[in-house]
Amino acid sequence: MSSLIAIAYDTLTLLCRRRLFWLNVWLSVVVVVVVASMGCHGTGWSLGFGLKSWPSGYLVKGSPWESTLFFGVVQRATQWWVAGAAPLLALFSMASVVPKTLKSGQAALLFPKTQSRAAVLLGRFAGGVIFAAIPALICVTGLFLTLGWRLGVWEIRLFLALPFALLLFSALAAVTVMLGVLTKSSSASLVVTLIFAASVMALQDAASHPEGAEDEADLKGIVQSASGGSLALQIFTWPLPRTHELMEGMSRAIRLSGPRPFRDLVRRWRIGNLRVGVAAAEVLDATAEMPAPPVTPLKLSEAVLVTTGFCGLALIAAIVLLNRRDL
Amino acid sequence: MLAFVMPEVKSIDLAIDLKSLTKVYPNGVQALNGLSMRVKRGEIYGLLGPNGAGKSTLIKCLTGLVHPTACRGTVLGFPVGDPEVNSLLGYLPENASWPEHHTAGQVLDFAGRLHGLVPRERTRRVTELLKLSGLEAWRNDRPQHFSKGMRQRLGVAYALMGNPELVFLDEPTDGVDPVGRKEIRDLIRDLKREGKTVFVNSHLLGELELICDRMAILMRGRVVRQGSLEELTIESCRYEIAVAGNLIDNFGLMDLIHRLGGTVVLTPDGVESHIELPTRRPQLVQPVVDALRQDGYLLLSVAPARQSLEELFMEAIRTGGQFKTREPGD
Repeated sequence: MSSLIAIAYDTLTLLCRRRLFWLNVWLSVVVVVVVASMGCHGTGWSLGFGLKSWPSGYLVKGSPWESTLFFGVVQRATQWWVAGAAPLLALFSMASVVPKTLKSGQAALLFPKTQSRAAVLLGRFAGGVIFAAIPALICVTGLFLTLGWRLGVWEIRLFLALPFALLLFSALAAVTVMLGVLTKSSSASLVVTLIFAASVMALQDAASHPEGAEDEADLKGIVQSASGGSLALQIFTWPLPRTHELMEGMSRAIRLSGPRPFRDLVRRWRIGNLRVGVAAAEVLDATAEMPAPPVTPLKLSEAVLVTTGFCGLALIAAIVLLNRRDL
Repeated sequence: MLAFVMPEVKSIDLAIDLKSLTKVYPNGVQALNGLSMRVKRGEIYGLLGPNGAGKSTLIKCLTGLVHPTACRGTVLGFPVGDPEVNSLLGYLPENASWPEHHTAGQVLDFAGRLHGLVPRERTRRVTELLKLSGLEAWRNDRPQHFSKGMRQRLGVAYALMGNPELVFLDEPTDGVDPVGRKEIRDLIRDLKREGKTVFVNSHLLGELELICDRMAILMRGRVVRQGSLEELTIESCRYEIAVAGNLIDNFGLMDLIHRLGGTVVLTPDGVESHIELPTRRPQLVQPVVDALRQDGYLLLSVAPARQSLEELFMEAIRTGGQFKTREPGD
């Protein structure tokens, strides 16, 4: 156990010394600053702490649209950055860790000092996950503080994004670790992991959203559940990380409270019954809170379990491969 | 080939007891071929062999980095490859690649963490080992900026972090200047004094000759010779007699020398003759000395001699491990 903790800590310090880590941290800060720089005033809303302003009859200080705007932007920032781009950047850093560890000069220093090869691999994995958590935590904390500062709303549920984001990252990181052991190549493990992630998302998209379902969703306010996909595809994709369900689960978990005239506004604006400032409308459209799919707690639990299981299996496969290998 | 018989030693006294170690790599290369070896606890053991003899593979098998294809044997009483033994081992690999994100002090601190040392003990040990390796002043510098010799010294310190019972040093003096080499030699002797077993793999035969209690010569994955330097070179024990004058024309003397299995070499200027008698018993030299005196030759020197380790090693290379046996009658 002590060697596992030592290796996890070592991995963390190794990764935190890389430029990509600081890029990730700074971009997280930039995301927070951009969100925090948004604000409503008496005649409209502005960006860049008032540097650029747009007039609006609705998006004004104190109106329910103000909180809707912030909630929508924060939610999108959480989904796209905290659970999307930031973990991806972390994966770029992490991909080289295992292949470098297995190079003979480093392996000879590390492995004879540990009780098991599994400890080395699990330590590297755990360090990578903690590493990915740092920018995500910075961003979520920043967004949490922004909401509190701008609206006086302290939405602790925002932090629920972290376990979802880290679970998704863990699944990809476990694949990277396994491929790192298999290929001993940073670039090969990264590229194959990215192809794998894209394939999983595409397959699950195909399995859960049959053709035309999105239009229907727009009309009915629901998104079709996985029941529409072909059975074969569903069986094939069942053991894979549940990216869609986890993202949707996360979006439900962090759905923020407060006034919600938003959906009606967008719908009415779309059909031309309501005139709002064009710029505000574009922002509103970009941050439009689309109806969340019906991810039941049972379905979400299944997604968490399957993704965790996948992660575990990938790590076990990596350990088995490593234990059979000469270093 | 000379029959190689290992002396009887109780296995509890053995740090390494290999009865048959074979390693065939997936590409079909047979690195070790039923290797047998015994290393006693508390001794300094040297491993010699040409490139490709299997020295590095042997150490990697013993440290668990490489899985043997077949093996009967133990390391410190644990079966070969058992990770339990790792906490009792120290290993300096030949081409250690130091992590880029650590300073020398942090490298040793990391090794201490791997061994599960508590912070206070770790700090004490790091300071102690930096002092021992002469790297105190470079504690906060990264090993990438070190000279080869400094990196080797750091490697020795790294290997010693967990206070191991058995230390494997693969080319410990490679790239180290003469002063540093002496320091490492002294360090190895200190380890022996502390009761540790040191297994040294080096190309510097002179170094091994100076420090090793016993050694083995590895050829094509097998131990062809094993023992102390005295045991290994006993076959080459001889007496060398230097005489003023030319003996070649003295048929009586030449006949006596040839009957004893000796040889005579005349110096190029023809003023000295050098007699080599393949014996370690002075009694067998006396008839020759007596005959030389009787014929009025001036004896310049009579001295016992034996092969150096380098000569022994070169003979092993030349003969492919087929050592010649001693002439009968000795």
